[in-house]
Order: sequence, then structure tokens, then C-alpha cells
Amino acid sequence: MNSLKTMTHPKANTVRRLRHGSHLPVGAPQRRNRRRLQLTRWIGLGVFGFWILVALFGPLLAPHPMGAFVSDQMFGGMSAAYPLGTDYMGRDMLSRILTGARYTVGLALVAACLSSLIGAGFGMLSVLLPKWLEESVRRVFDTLISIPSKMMALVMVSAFGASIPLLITATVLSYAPGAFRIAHSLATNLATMEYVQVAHTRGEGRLYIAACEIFPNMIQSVLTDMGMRFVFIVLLLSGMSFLGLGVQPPAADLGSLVRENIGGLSQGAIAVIAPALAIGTLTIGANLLIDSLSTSRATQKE
Amino acid sequence: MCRGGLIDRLINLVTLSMVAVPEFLVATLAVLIFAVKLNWLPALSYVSTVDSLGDAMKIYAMPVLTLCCVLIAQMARMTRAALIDQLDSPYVEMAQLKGVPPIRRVMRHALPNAVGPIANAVALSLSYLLGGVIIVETIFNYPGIASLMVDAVSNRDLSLVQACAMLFCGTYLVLVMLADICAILSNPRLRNR
Repeated sequence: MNSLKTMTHPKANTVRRLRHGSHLPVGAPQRRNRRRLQLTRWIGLGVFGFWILVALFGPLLAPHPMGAFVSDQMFGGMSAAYPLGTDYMGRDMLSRILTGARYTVGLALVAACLSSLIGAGFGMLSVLLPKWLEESVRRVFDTLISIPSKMMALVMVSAFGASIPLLITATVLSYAPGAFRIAHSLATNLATMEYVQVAHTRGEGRLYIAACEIFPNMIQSVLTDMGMRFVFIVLLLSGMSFLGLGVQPPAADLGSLVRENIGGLSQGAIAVIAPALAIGTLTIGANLLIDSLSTSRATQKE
Repeated sequence: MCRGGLIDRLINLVTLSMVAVPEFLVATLAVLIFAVKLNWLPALSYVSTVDSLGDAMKIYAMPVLTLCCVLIAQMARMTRAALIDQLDSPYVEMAQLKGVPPIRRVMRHALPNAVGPIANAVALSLSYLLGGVIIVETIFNYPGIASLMVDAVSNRDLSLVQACAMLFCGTYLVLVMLADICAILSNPRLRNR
């Protein structure tokens, strides 16, 4: 009899409670899901944070200057002196990647912030405008969104040449309409809420309603969307640099590093793989982070 | 089917990572693994004579793999989201109560209703494909219209750029229209409007 009793789990009759938050008993699957989300979030945060640090401090940590010819061996393999090998002219790949990451990450961040700012700004603005103006703004952005982004970037580069302000302009033109669409739908949904109507009844001006009632409730989704834009923009900019139409030499960004060393592909040189892997890990880390943040917010809301 | 299980979460993680991967990373890795290390497929993908179907498949395997890799992940996520949406509806629950096995429930009951959002997702992926084909042509040295356009941009041949852009955008519009028509046809409620 006693052995039968002790065969039950020691915690079988105690009710599990959280140490923080609600004081109701909590079930098992939520705990497991929370740990999973934490894993993707920490991986994403780790990888993305690593690249932000590289973008900020990379050139200071690089063992050789970016353009220095350090070795006689083209497409050298990984070694103690050159951890990521040498490129097609005998320069150290690690230094070039550390310096080039600054361009990639910096340009993409600037372009993402600008496009989210413009898109969200217009999205909120169009809620305040009269109906006909709002319709025409929406049509303009709908036209822009239907043009494939690489096409638009290619055509603009052919017309105006490939310079950094032009790249940022082309990217913003491609990705601001997406941000506008999301911000607009959020703003129109929020404009029907009761507290906005109360503020309107109170006599508040339109600008106050936009800034203090609608905007703070939109900002989480807008920031998540900005993260997504960042990933797409990194892909677009590196694609353009890969085609030779992005950042021009002597400035190097990760895409143009892949382009320069593409000749080593048939030899299996690490000089080609390393910058491509760098871009890949940057976008994957950012994507994991954004997704875990948006998923955790969605589960928190429920 | 096994929503929330280990396989589901693993696939979710993998597809989430693969969605963000740049095309030239997939292309360089594919060339490195299949052509250099394993020697299964030829690295040079353009030959003037194609002898047999097996040859044709070997030659085109890598470019197609590059283009499809990210798309497969994107479509997997969209299909999963659309199907989960459908699986929560009352008619699927009715089928479950009737004793329909899970696979048949998904394939015969939920999937036909999920085709609409999936066709929408296909339309959205078309613009990604148009961009990806430019990169693939550059890496694998295909003399195609996309690399023609890139050369025209480098040489500032504006009329050629205009022509290529018109061709690409025209094709894109036709394909998007087809996808929209598919989405409308798949939903019988919208067919008569």
C-alpha cells in the first residue's frame, strides 16, 4: 500500500503557480512554448547584436587596413595569420569583411528607418486628410508597391548612376509604400476606437489625436515592420552590390566583396563564402529576432 | 497536423531562417557543395546541346534550386498559416467528429479552401523571383534577358534598359493577373460576381 502511494509523482498533488504575473495555476505547454520563444529570441538577438557591434567597432578591430596587400597567395585558405583567407588580390578577408559590414549594416539601417518614417508618417497623415486626398495618396503608394524592387533600383541606377544617396532613395521608394500600407490600415483601425472618438468630442485638434492617441498604439507594429524592411533592404542592397551597381569601389560592402571574389568559386575558396555567409547570418539573425518579438507580443495580447 | 509538436516547431525555425537568406548565398553554397566538393552537377550551366532529359535536369538543377530555396520556405510558411486558419473552422471539426482521418481532413476538406491565400502568396513571390533571376543569371552565366538588362545598366544604354524593364514588368503584370484569376476561381462564392 505504501509503495503504491509513493509511486505517484512528488508534485502530483501540488498546484503549480508562477512566481510572477498571474496567481492562477499554470499548465505545462505554455511553459514549454515560452522557453522555445526565448531560444529564438536569444539566438536572433545574439547574432544581430554581434553584427551591430561589428558595424560599430569593426574597422578598429581589423588586424590589417582594408586595402593592404598582405599575402602573395590569392584565395588562400583559413590559417592562423589570415582567419578568413585572402582574396583575389592577396588582401586579408577578415579585415575587409569587418570594414565592409559597416556599409551594409549602416546603409540598411538608415534606409529602413527612413522608409518606415516616411511610410508611417504618410499613413497617419492620411487618416487626418480629407477623403479625396487620402484616396490619391493611397493610389500613388499602390502604384509604387506594384513595381518589383530590383527593377526599380536597376532603372534608377541606370538613369542617375550608382551613388550612396541614390541607393538610399531607390530603396526608400521601393519599401516605404509597404510601410505606408501597414501604417494606414493600423491607423484607420485605431481611428474607430472609442478613445479617439472621446478625444474628438473633447475638441482636441487632429494633430493631437494623431500624435498622442493613435501613434503610441501603432508604434509596436511599425517597429516590427521596420525590422522586416531592414531584412529586405539588406537583401536588396547586397544584391545590387553583387551586380556591381551598388556601393562602388574603393568603398566595399559585403555584396561587392562577394562579387570581387566570385572567381574563386570553382576552387572552393573561402573568400567567396565568408561575405555571403556574413550577409546570410545578418539577415537570419534579424529575422529570428523580429519574429520572436512579434510572436511574443501576439501571445501577450491574448 | 501535428501543430505545436517538435517537428512543427523545427520546421518553423528552419523555414524562418531560410526566408531571409540571400540568393547568392544559396547559389554559392550550392555550387560549392554540389559542383566542387561532390561533383554531382556541372558548375557551368549553359550548354548548346542537351542530349537527354537526365542531362537537362542535371544542368538546370542548380539554378532552379537557388531560385526555389527561399520560395519553398516562404510557401511553406504561407501554406501552414492558411491551413491552420482553415483547420479551426466548424466544417473541419464536423469532419473530425465524423471520423475522417487527419490526412484526408487536410487534403480533401481544408486544402481546397486554403488555395485562395496561397495563390495570393504565389503572386507576391513573383516579384521576388524576378529579382532572383537576375542574380542567378549573373552567377551561372546565362545569356538571358536579365543579364542583358544588367549590362545595359552598366553601359548606360537607356533604351535597352527601358525595353527590358517593360518586358519584365509586363510579364509580371500578366502573371499577377493570372494568380488573381486563380484565387477568384478557387473560391466558388466569388465565381459568379
